[in-house]
Amino acid sequence: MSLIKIILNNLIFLPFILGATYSSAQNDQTSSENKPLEQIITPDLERREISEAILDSENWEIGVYGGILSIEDFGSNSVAGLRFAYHLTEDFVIEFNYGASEASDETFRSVVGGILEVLNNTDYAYYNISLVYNLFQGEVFFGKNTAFNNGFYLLAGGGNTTFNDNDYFTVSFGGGMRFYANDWTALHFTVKDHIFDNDITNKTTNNLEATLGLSFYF
Amino acid sequence: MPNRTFSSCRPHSLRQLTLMICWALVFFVISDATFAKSKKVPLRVVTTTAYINVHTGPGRGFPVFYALEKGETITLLKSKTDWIKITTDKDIIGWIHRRDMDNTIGALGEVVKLGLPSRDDYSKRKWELGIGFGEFEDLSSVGANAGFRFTKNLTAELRLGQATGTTENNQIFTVGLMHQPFPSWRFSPFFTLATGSITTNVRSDLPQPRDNTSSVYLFGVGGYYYFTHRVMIRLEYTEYNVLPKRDENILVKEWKIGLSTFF
Repeated sequence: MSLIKIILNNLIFLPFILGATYSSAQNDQTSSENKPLEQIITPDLERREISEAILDSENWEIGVYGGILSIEDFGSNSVAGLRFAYHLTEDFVIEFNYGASEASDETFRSVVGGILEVLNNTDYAYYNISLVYNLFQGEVFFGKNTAFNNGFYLLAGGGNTTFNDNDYFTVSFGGGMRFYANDWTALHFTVKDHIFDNDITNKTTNNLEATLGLSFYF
Repeated sequence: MPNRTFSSCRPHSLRQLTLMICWALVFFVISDATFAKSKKVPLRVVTTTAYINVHTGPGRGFPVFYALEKGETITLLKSKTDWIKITTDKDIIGWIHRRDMDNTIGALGEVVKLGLPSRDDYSKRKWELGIGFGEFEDLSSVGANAGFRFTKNLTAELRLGQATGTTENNQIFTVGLMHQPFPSWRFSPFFTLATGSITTNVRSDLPQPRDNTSSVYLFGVGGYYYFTHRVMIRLEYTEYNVLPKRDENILVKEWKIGLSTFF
C-alpha cells in the first residue's frame, strides 16, 4: 500500500516530469536541425575554393639549342640559340627563337671567281615568332618496361635575320620531335627553313637549320 | 650538345652573351622548380562521378591506364595546358583532363574552379600577351605586345615591333592606352593611342645618319575575337605619325593580325 501511496503522492509531479522530458526531446530535435546550418554559416576552412592561383602550372618553356645552319651560298656553320615558348593549349604553342651563327663567303667567292671579300660582316643572327602545332603525341618504348612521352610538331612563323649588317624579314617553316625526359624536361630535334630575299645574291634564299635542344617547363 | 657547338666556334661576343643568358635562365628555372616542390601544400579533391580517365601524359594521345572511381580522393600536383597531374591514395600518378575537374569537390568542401578556360575568364582578363604580323606600308612587320587591363575598359599597353623591306628597316617601341567600350563581348572593338620611338635604317652602302631615331605617336582601331580557351585573335589598323627632326611628318599605315593570350 505504501508504494501505491508514494506513486499517488507523486502524481502531482507527473506533468512536470513529462513536460521536462518533452522539452528536452524538443531541444534535441532543434539542436540536430541546427547542426548543418551552423556548418554552412561558420565553416572554419582555410580556403573556400581550389582555383588556378594555388595550383602550379607548367605552360612556359625555356630552352637552349645548338646545331648546324646552312646559309645559302654562304657556307654551313654551327648555330646556337635560345627558345622561349608558351603552350596555349595541348595542340598549339607560341614560340620565340633567337639564334646566332656565322656566314662564310669562301664558297661564294670560289664559284663567282672573285678575290674581293663579299661580306663586310660575317655575323649572322635571327629571331622569329612561330605558331607550333603538336601532332602524334604519345608514348615510345625502350625495351619492355620503359616508356617515354614524345610528340611531333609543325611550325610556321616570321621574324628577322641580320646578315652582313642588313635586316631581312624572314619567314620560317619547319617541324620537329619533342622527347620528354620527365614532366618538365624535353629534348628537341628541330629542322627549319628560314626564307628571305638576300640582297647580295639578289634571290630568295632557303637557309636550312637542324638543331638539338634541351628545354625546361615552368 | 649546345656546348660543343659553341666551343667549336671562334669567340663571338653576341654568342657569348646569348649563352650567358641561356644558362642564367636555365639555372633560374631549375632552382625555381626545386623551390616550388619544397613549399607545396597538398590540394585534395574527391571525385563525384565514376570513370574519370587517367592518362600517362598531358595530351589526348597518351594512353588511358586507369579510371577513377566515384568518391576517390586525389591530390592535384600541377597543370599543363588542359591537363592536371594527379596522384591517388593508391600512388597512381597520371593526368586527367580539366573538364573532369567539374566532377570533383574539394576534400574540405571547397568549390573546385579548374575547368576549361571560358568566356567568363575572358571577360575577367587582366593581363594580355600577344604577337602579330602585318603590313607596315609596303614593309613586312612582326611584333609583340603586353597589356594590363587596369579598369574594365582601359588597358595600358607596351608594344615592340620591327618592319623590314628591301629598302629600310624600322624598329618601333611604343607605350599607350587602349579603350574597349564592350570588353566582355566575344568580338570586342578597341581604340588605341600611343607614343614612342621609331629607329629607321636605310639599306645602303652609304654611311647611315648618326641620329636615325624619331618620335612617333599613333592612333589605332581594331578588335579582339575570343577564339577558344585562353586565345584571342587580334586584328588592327594603325596610323603612325612619325616626327623626324629635320623633315616634315610622315604618315605610315599598318594592318596587323595577331594572336593573344590572357591571364
